[in-house]
Amino acid sequence: MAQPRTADRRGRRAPWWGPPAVLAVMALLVAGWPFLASRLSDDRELPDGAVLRVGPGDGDHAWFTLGGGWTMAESETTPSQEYVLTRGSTELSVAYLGLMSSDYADRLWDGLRRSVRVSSSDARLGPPTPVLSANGARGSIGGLTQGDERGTAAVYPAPDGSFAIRMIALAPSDTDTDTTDLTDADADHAAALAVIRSLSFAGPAP
Amino acid sequence: MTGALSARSFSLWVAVAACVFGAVSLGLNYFDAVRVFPAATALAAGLLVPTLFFGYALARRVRPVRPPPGPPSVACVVWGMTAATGCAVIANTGLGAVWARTRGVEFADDWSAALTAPWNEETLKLCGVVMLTFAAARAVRGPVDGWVYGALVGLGFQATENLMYALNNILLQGATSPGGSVVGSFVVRVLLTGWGSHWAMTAVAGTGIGFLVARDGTPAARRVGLAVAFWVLAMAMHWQFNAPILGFPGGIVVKVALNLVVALLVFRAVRRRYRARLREVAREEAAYDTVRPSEAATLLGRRSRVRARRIARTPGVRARIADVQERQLDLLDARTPAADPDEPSLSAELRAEVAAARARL
Repeated sequence: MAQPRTADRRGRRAPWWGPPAVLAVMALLVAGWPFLASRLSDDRELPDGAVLRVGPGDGDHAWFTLGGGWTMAESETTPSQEYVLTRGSTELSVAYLGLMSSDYADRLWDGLRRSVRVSSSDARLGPPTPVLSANGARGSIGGLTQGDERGTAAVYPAPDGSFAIRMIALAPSDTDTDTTDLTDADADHAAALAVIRSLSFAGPAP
Repeated sequence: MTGALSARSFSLWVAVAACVFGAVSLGLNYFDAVRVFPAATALAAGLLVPTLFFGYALARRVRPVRPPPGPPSVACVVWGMTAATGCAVIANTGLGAVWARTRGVEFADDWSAALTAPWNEETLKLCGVVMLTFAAARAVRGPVDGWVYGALVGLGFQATENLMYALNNILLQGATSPGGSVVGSFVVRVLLTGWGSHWAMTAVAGTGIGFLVARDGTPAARRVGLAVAFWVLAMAMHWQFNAPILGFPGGIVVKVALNLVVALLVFRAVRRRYRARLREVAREEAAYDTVRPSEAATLLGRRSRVRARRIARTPGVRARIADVQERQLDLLDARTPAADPDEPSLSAELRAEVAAARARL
């Protein structure tokens, strides 16, 4: 039978202040940074007609054009990856999606249908219809509801199929988001639809 | 004795609470992705488990002479997987927001990772090694223990982060191939960058904690300076890994190699120091007949200890020889801190245990 070992039983006394000190350091990081961020303004107003580029690098990006009244949520925006923009009651996200193969461009709408359910378990994406942006980008667009919001989602695969751009505009559910008739849409959502239809892979419009 | 036990128990409960908090944070952040992509999550977990076991076995195997005890080793991995990672998710989001709101999104896009993760993650991981010194004081006697336990904390952190990145990658690729996204993330984060990632950084930082708590007569100011220096070195390793530098093809390999080399150089230095001290103590113990010169020649090697046991023909005798060897190593380990105030009385007890174990042969 194994005899008990002194090495297992003896130990240096832990200082009483040790664990609280460690907790204090952790709390400083976990609570301190968010608190400091909360004291800073997050919204950056964007000029009317601003052309923004989304994507990581040369050749792997797209452009979209804003009208007036948009602000950017700086803490949620990473230009190489995603923009989060707000105009009144409408929020618009524009995201870069890397594709492992150009063959996967056909899976974008099904992928989007699953992805939106991560944000909200009751998110429902309608059937896609073809869309042609004002700058010649071809994609798919459809209605989206999630929680007490409704809106529009669109995906545009790049011409070479190496990446895609996903655009989602959401507004309170009482907003008129009819994608087929811009003139009847709520002004903020109409502005978002205009941004969605401005997408370009060929560079900013002159 | 009761006070000492209470302080250690308190440390243990604080560590458990931190791990629970971290696990809850991770759950809140990633439950929805797991809910929507259960098969891909299972694939990611399936890839994570062998990685974790391989890293765990390797880190414990590289410790010179004998592996560290199992319970503190597992505790370090668990800290890295939960407390450190779960708290880092919150802290990084906060500090990243500070950079974006103060320096603009373009600056944050390029530099946020390099200016956020080293500060938050190296500190949170290192807290695990520090907590270990409170909860299991004998586990960390010097820098070599700090290196090994730091590597285990970093391994746990890396494992959970790999799972997080796999799930993120599914969404970043539009969920067009969830399984492919998981495998792609695994290839990059384990096979390519895993060799010089979090385990290496926290091994270096943990070495500093080993210097800090070692009772070897080094003045306190120097020990604190060493601890800070190794923590800063770990943050520098993390900074260069995340910084938008070395952007040429193959640059990531250079970054990984740099971290791996730094971690191994630190390990080589502390291992050499540790083994030299063990040999010195073994020579001293010859005067007490606790470690005879013939035994000292075989005691410090894993294979040589096994060969020495095989001289005996019966399993029972081999087990008793192994018991003598383990108690001899307990004695040598206890005496590696050259200025431990507990050492005279502790050594006397351990010598008596060696003698008693010999008597049972």
